[in-house]
This record gives sequence, C-alpha cells and structure tokens, in this order.
Amino acid sequence: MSVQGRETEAEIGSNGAACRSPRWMATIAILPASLWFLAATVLDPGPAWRARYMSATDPQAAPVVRFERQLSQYWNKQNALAAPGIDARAFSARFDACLALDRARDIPFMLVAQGEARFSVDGQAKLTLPEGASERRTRGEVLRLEAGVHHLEVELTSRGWSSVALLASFDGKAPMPFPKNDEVDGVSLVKPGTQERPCSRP
Amino acid sequence: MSTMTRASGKEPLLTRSAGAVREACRSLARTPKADLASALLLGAVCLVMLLTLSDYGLTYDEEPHIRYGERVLEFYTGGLEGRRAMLRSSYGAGFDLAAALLRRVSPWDEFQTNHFLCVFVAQLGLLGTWRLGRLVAGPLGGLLSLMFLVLTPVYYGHQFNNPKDIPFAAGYVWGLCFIARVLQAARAESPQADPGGWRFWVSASVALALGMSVRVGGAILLAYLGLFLALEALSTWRSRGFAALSRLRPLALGSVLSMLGAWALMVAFWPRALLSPIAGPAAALESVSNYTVYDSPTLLAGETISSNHVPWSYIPTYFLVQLPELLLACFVLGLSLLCLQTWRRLSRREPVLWVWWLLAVAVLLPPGYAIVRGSTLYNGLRHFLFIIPPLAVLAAGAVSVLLGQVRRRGRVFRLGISALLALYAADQAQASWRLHPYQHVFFNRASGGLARAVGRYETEYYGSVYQELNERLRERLWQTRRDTYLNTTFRVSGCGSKLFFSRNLPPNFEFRAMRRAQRSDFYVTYLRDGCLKQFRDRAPVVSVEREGTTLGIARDMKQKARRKAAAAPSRSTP
Repeated sequence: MSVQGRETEAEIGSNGAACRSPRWMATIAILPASLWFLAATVLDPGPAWRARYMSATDPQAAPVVRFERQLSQYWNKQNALAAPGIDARAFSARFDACLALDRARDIPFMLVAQGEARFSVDGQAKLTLPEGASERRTRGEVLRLEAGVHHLEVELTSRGWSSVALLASFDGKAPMPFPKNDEVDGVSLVKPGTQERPCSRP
Repeated sequence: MSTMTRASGKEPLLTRSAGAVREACRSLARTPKADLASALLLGAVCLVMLLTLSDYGLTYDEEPHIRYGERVLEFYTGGLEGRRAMLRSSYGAGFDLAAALLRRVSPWDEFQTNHFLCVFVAQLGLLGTWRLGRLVAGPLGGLLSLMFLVLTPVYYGHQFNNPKDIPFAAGYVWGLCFIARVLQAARAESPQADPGGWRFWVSASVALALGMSVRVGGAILLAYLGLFLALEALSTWRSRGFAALSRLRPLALGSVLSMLGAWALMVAFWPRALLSPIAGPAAALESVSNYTVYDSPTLLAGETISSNHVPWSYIPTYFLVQLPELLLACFVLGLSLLCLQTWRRLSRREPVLWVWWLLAVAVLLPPGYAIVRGSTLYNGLRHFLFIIPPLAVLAAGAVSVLLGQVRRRGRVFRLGISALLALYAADQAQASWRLHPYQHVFFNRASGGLARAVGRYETEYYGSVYQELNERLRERLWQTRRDTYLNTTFRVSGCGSKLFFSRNLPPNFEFRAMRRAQRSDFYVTYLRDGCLKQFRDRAPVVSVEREGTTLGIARDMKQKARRKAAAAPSRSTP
C-alpha cells in the first residue's frame, strides 16, 4: 500500500492525536440501540393478564398466581409444567385482564384451546369449547363492546397436554394474541384489580 | 444564582459553557471530512437497522441458541451443574448468555430480544470494521471499509437474526483491530513500544475473547497475534539490529498477558471450558473442524452435493457469486498491491507492512484451512461471514491507495473514481432495498442474480421468509373467508422447523408434520431442499417474491375437496 500506506505509517508512528480515532464514533454506534432499549423498557406497561393456576391432582395445593404478557400458552413434553409445581396434564387455570375502550367497537374475538375452555366478558359467557375433542379447536365471534372498561376472563380445564389462547382484532387485520406492540389508539389492556372489583376505575 | 454566574470562584458558568461549545466546534472543524462522513453513515445505518428490525423473521439457528443460553444461565446460577448435552457443547456461550440475561429485563419476547442483541452486536462489528480501516488506511480507509461492509447485502441481512456468525464476525474484527494496533506500536519510532498502557491490554483481552466466547475457532486470533508479532520482531532485527529488539519486550509481555486474559474470559463464559479449560476447547476445536454429524444436501452450481463431501471450490464459488463485483475487484487489487509492495520492500531490505498481511491472512486462512481439512460445509458462505469485515478493509485499502495515486494525476481521475464509488453505493443500496428483508439471498450480476441462483445455489435456507409468508396467508384467509376463519383451526404443513409456524402464525393454525401434509389445509414452504417443487399441482394462495423470484409459497391442499363439496348440492338440485 504505497502512497496512503506511507501516510498512515507516518501518522501511526507519531502516536499523536492525529492517529486517534474520534471517540464519539463509539457513541454513534452504541447510543441509538441503548436508547431504543431503554425507551422500550420504560414505556412498557408490563404484563396485564393475571393467570391463576390450580393443580387438579392436589386440590390442597395453593394456586399459583402470576402475570403474563399474552394469553397464548401451550404445554407439551418440553414444557411440562403449567406453573412451578403444577403438572400441565392435570390442572385448571383462570386468566383475566381489563380491556379499556375509548369508544364502542365491534371486536372479533377467537378462543383457541385444546381442553375445556370458556371466554366471558363482564361475567357473561361468550365463547365456549366443551370438553371432549382431543385436538385444538377454535370458536370465534364478533362482539360489540361499549366504551369503558371490560373484564375479560378465560377459564381452562386441562386433561392431558393442552393449550389456550385468546385472539382479538382491533385494527381490521386477522385476530392475534393481544396486546401487541403496535396496538391501536384508544384500546389498552390493563392489569385487573381485586377479585370483587377487578376492573373498576377510580 | 451564584452557580450560574460563578463556579468555584473561577469563570462564570455561561462563559465556560460557551467556551466548551466553541472548543467542540473547533474540534469538529479539525475532524477530517471522511470521519464526519463515516459518522453520518454509521449513525444512519444504525437507525435504519433499528427501525427495520421487526421486518426480519426468526431463523432456524435461533431457538437452539436461546435454549442453550437458558441452560448456561441455569448452570451458573445453580451451582455449576448442568445437562450433559450443554456441558459438551462446542460453542462458547458469550452471546447466548448475554441474551439470556437481557431477556430477564427485556420488554420483548425471546426472539425480539435476540434480534435486538444481534443488531447491537452487529453495530459494534460495523464500528470495529471502521476502526480497523481507519487504523490501517486513515480516515478515508475507515469510511470506505464501513461503506463496503454495509453495502454487502449478504452480510447486512445476517446482522438481524444470526446469533452465531455475526457475533463471531464482530469479535473477529475487534480482535484484528487490537492486533493491528500492537503491530503498529511495534513499528513506531518511540524508544519503548507501547500501544496505550494497561487499559489497552485489558481491552485487547476482551476483544480477543469476544470471538472465542462465541466460537472456539476465534482462538486463531491468538495465533495471529503471536505470529505477526514474531514477524515484526524479525523485521526489526533485520532493519535495526538485535539490540533494537529490547524495545519490543513490553509488547511481547503485554501480548502474552492479554492472550491469557482472553483465554480466561472465554473459559468463564463457556461451561465446557470452565470444567476443562484446555482439553474442553481443544476437543471442541477438533469436533467443529471435523464436523460430520450434520450431513445435509447442499447446492453448488446446480448440483446437489453432500455437505460432508463438498469440493474445494464450494467456498470460493459462493464468495465469487455472493459478494458485490466491485468489492471482489478491490480485494483482488488490494492483494496484488500488497504482494507487489512486499516484493519491493524485501528487495530494498525495508520492513514489510505486516499489518496488511494480517488482513490478508485473516481473510484467506480460515477458508483455506476448511478446504485443506475437507470440512463439512453448507448454507453457502454463512459460516465464513466473519472474513467479510477484514476483506472490506483490504478492499478499502486498495481504493485509498488508488485515490492517493490519482490525486497526483489530477481532478478528473479523482472525480472518476469517486463517481464510480457513488454509483456502486447507489446500486448496492438499491439491491438491499429490493431484497429487504432478505438481503442474505443476494447474488451479484456477474453470476446472473437471484433468479439464476435459485435451484443452483443456496438461497433462502435460513427460514426468515416464513414471517412474511405466514402473515400473508393469515391475512388472505381473514379477508377472503372471514366466517370460516372465526371457527376453524387450520392445519398447516411445511418444510423446516415447527417453530417457523408456531411462532409466525396465530394459535388457530396448527402445525402438522410433513408426512401428514396431504391431509393438511395448507402447505407452506421456503426454497430449501427442493421443498418448493412439492405439491405443485395445488393452487397457490400467497407467495413471497423478490427480484421476480419466489422465495416462499403457501398452497391450498383442500381446494379440490372444497370445490367438490360446493358443487355437490347444486348437482343434486333438480
């Protein structure tokens, strides 16, 4: 590397300021991704679905309660525990969350499950998958929900490997497990409160 | 108010701030234009990468790495006990462990988090390439190195969802960067060669460990450091005499310590090495370079061959057809100039520019070794993505030399080369745009492009097309069969991992193994292993195409049955 090579050699040989790379270049490479992650973490509303798992083999055992990001679960040999200490082949579970709408909407909901499952809105059963079939089944309906906060609830009873998911569409596209990252304005899923008044707003 | 007007009894704060701004402006004005252009390019690329991150689907390498990362984390948090398979893994867990830790605080799911970390590490790789280019060829060399790498679509596309080859490539280029600094310190005129004190050597240890903590093959960097430092010592002895060697003593000591530090860091992030620091990595190195467990058919110039028995031309051919022509030409020019320069310097008894040979060896040795060993190869050049950054630096060095030469010959020549580079940049950027987000299927014009490569070379082998393909299928069914959609569990079969379907489709789609494809509702597939040729008699529902070539297709397996069922009542009606 003749011409440039000689220049570079001389430059590096001096060990002076000229040979140093500008330090702010590292900032340019590192800062955007770091800020991106920080913003996503700070703005993240956190998981909204409250899941309550109960063992069917040990009715005395205390239920396991935790919060999950989406209601979309399946269990198999590799994923054999519904929750710590609860066998995924014999358990029941109850998931609930509060859906806040800024205006009345027609929302396609789909309940997909392997096992016995039921979906209710504000305490009223809307979609049911009775016990019986051993394969994954789907039930869906477009439901009219008024503006306000609605209590969504899904119950699952598992006998053998099971799965459960609640899908909905708020943007005209195919229903998906929710909430998604690109959720539409005016719709939000929030954590439920107490058992007696799960979705009351001050 | 006192702090506004007076700080520590010296100058007022506002005056000091104005002074700092003025100093920053002066410093910016002193910065070479090429550095400013590099900063703009790097910043723009980093932003584009983040904004388009969600377009890139998951690949089949990701799930095993996510699982491995979780098990390694369990190993470290659970009293250094783990499953046998994890303890025998030939891969370091540097990236996977970092991803597992990040998942603990990430607001995204495991795949999105993995993609984010891939991009972050890839951006560090871009920075390392720029630094290496600037170190060896000045600010213009840095800019051109960065430009060449960013405009190599096959490398660009892998940066988003390749948890193995891209972190290794980033580690490799940073390792080379520190070795280059050691070599240049050895060449410096100062009485004691010192590249920057203990901080430098700690950073060198980390940089050398980055690659090794992902793939044990990164240990080759230690060999480069030892070999090229010995060659520099030889040059010093030849040109300045034996006594001059004593000034290299701190470099030699620092290099040995940083190699030991790098090894210790690699061991710390790899359970197999932690339990057996020498035999573990040695056995892993042997098993990866003589890897015969996986024997998949792979394509080369239209022939299907066993990945255990690829001809020597496999890797060179893929580099010839998948790298942009100008990059290849500049690389060859760089190698030729290096040979010429070395010949001249040797004949004049001048020291050889070993730092450039470091780059040449870093590009040529790994594939050369794989060819000589007859290693198992598949997925085209994927396993050798790590040689693209030093290749780009060498090519950039050649262009820098060329621009330096034409500077003497006048403005017209310089403008001509600059125009050629601008044209190349625009053309390659357009190719990346056209193929987005499948830049990894890029084939250069000389090879006939993507359309001619399908069926002749490995193209969409990674499975990232399933994200777009499955999304299109889902939306098409929702738009055209809404009533059925709400109450149907669709059965889907296809080539590749089950995860391509369970992750990219909502749960009302259920994956069925290929042996049950005849009874499924849809057959969804990518290009790999001739899967696109199956069930060609079934009607296509949706497809994903780039440059007029189908990368993935979904076929309706029940269309005939549905038509028959629909026709039956009408026939029975009198």
